[in-house]
Parts: sequence; C-alpha cells; structure tokens
Amino acid sequence: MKTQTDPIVILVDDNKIELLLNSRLISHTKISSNIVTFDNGKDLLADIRNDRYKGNEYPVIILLDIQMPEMNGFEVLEEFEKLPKDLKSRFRIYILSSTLSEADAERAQKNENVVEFYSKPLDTDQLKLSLLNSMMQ
Amino acid sequence: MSTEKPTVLYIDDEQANLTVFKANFRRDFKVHTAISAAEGRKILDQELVHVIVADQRMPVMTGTEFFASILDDHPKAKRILLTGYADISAVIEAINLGQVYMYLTKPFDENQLRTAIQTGYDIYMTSEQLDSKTQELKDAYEELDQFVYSASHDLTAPLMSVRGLIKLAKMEGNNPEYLDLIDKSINKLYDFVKNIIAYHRNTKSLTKTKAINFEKLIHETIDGFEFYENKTNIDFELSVTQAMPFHSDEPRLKIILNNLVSNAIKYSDSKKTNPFVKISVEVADNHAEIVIKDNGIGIDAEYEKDVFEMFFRATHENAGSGIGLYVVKEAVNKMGGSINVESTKGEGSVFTLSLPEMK
Repeated sequence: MKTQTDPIVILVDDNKIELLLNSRLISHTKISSNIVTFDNGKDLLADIRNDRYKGNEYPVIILLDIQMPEMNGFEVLEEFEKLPKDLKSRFRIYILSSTLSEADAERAQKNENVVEFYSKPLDTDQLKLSLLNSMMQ
Repeated sequence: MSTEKPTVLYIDDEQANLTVFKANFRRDFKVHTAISAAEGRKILDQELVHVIVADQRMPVMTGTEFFASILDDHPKAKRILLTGYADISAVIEAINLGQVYMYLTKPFDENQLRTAIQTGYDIYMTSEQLDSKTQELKDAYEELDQFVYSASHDLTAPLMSVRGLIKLAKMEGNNPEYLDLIDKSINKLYDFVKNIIAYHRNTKSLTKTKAINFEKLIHETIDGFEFYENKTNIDFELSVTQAMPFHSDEPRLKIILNNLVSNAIKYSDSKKTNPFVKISVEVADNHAEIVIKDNGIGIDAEYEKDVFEMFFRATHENAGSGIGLYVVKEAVNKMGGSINVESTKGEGSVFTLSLPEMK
C-alpha cells in the first residue's frame, strides 16, 4: 500500500496466538505496520470511547472475533452501535471468525456497522482489496 | 399411570341431577358440580379438572356453547355431553365447536358414564405425558444445537490458527517459533477432544468402583502435566489423611482431578513470586473431601456461579474452552458427590470436592 502513513489496524481476539499471527500477516503483507491488539471486547470499547483517533487520515480498521468470553463480538457490536455517529465514523469493523455457523455469518453481514465478514485464517489479499475499495470511495 | 383420582366437573341446571351424580361417583372421582355454565366456569378457573360432563339443555348457555366458550382457556379437559334426545345436528355441533370427545344420552347409564369419565381421564393423562416428552425432546434438541455450535468453534479455532501459522511460516521461511505455536494449538485441540470424549463416556458408562490410593493417583495426575509451560514454577503440596479404605469410580475421579489440577496450572498467576497448588485429601465417615487450593488469577465474583456451566469461560486470560468444569460437575453428580468453588479475583481459588464411599 503506497501511503505515507499506514492506517491503524486494531485486532481483537481472546486467543493470543491469533493476535500474534494476524499482526504479522498484516505487517508482512504491508497492509499496515500500525497495529494495536486487544484480547477482549471491553478494552476495545474503552479505546474507542477515548477518541484518540480523531483527525486521522484514514479510518481505523478493526478486525473483531466473535466467540470470546465475557463479551462476544456481537455484544461488542451492540455497544458500538450506541456510540455517537461521528465517533463511529472513525472506524471500519470487519468480523474475523472461525465460526462454521451460517447464522453467525449472516448476523454479522446484516449488521450495519460491519463492513465484511471474514473466515479465519485471515485472507490478506481479500482484506487489502476491501481496504483499497473503501479508500477510493 | 398416576395414582391421583380423576377430577370431574358436572354441570346441569337441575339440582337433583347434580346430587345423584355426586352420590354415584364421589368414590371413584373427585367430583365438582355446578348449577350453571357460569358456575362451571368459575370452578374451572380455580381447579385442575380432567373431565367435564355437561348437560346440553340448560338456560342461558347450552352445553355445546359452554364447551365452545372454554376452548381457549381450558383446552385440555376432556368433554362429555349429555342430552335427553338424540339430535344429529346437535351432535355435529358439539364435536365441531365444543370438541366433545363423547356424547351420551340422558338419563345416563351409571357404568357407561363411569367408563367414559375414566377413559377421558386416561386420554388427558396420555396427552399430558406426550406434551412433557415433546418438551423434553425440544429442550434436548436445543441443548444439542448449542453443544454443536460451541463444540464446532472449539474444534475449528485451533485448526484455523494452525493454518494461519503455516501461511505465515511459508511467507517468512523457517521460523521455529511457529512450530511451538502450532504445537500449542494442537495441544489445545487435543485437550478439547479428550474432554468431549470424557463427557460422552460419563453420560453413558456405568459406575465401577475400586479402592483408591489418593497419594498415587494425585502424583500421577500432577506428573501428567509435565509439559505445561507454567508448571515448572509451581510449588505442589499434597497431604492425604486416610483412616479407612475408600472406594470410588477411578476413571471419573481421574477426569475430575485432571481438570481441576490442569486449571490450577493454566490459571496460575505469573505475577506472583510463589505460585502454589495445595491439595489435601481427608477420608473419614464414609466420604472423602478433596480440597484444591491455588493462588492463581482467581475468578470474578460475578462469574463464580457460572463456571460449571457448559462452555462458560470466565476469563480471556488463558485459552480454555469452558468444557472442563462442566465435565467435572457432571462426573461429580454421577458419583453422588458435590463440588463448590470459592474464589477471589487476583488471590486464588479453592475447589472443594466431596465424594461418598461407593462400595
């Protein structure tokens, strides 16, 4: 990606192997070297509420897992929905899950705040393409 | 079938008929009588009635109309209609509108009516049983659905990690770090599969008992976790006080100890300088009390009651699947014992297991 600063990518997954794995996939494929990780949804929401990404050149990309303890991906989305519009507009949420449930996939795709639903393992080409498309808009 | 007496409600506008009915049937059934449809309705709203017998010809509301009027609120009671004359259109109406299951002529033959009430009661009870079996099946099916949903996640997630790691390893050339992570994911998957099998076995197999050597059993359990990465720092302490032989179901006991000890290791607190797991066993008065105490990360108070639920995970600190303690609880139940947990977040957990002598 030929940009001066990379977009920020936030990874949210309770499995630490996934966090490490996806961070590296994203940096190796030059999608971004600006990666933030959270191992639970609560910390992500706290970070979003802090509004520290105000004035960024690009929206912040979030890759969110579904099945997590304490608060699952859908619960995170419900909380996200309640946030003010302009705050929400700074983020693009992708679901990245190993779920085999079609109901989960459908539910994620139907959610207004979800750009796309991806199955694990992360297909970096697919993500890259989607990001390029959204930036051209 | 049930030993309770069938409850029958008889509605007739002639007091003399009510009196005769009561005299005839009070030994066989629990009898309620009502002089009008309105009175009958009141009784239905208060009492559980299995069979309703109503006279067709009553002022204000006929028997058929009465049956039709109670369809929504009292659909289950079986209905018998009595009438003095045979009128085919009344019969059709009674069946179609009032869902009457039997139609008898008046004056009633005592034996015939008794049989009709008894049969009505039997039909009532059969359909009740059918309803409750259907509900049980629905519940079981829902549970199975939930099980498949959660189990498929726990089976797939480590595999997807492995695929991702392989992808990454190919990208980078050789990096032995990824082999370790692949190994970890596979171990997690293996643990889960073992637990599923243990759970399945537990629902099926009959209990076999033998004399238990706690000292040996617990040492073997601890040694089994040799390859757990945080095990080496943990100080294990074991004390067994056993005044009498103790018999139990060893395979189940192993499942329980394995899960509890592995949790104590997995959820040990890396910030503490002296992580420990203290296990004490006391056998007395035909039962064994096993206490497993650790100074690990502990459990949030709000989740403490849920930790034995299937697929419940109280923490994101370590990648458990949430099936271990459920399997433990099921096994303990099968053995007629009890288990509880007391925990303070950040300080540690104490699991107390009480098992009966099983010889």
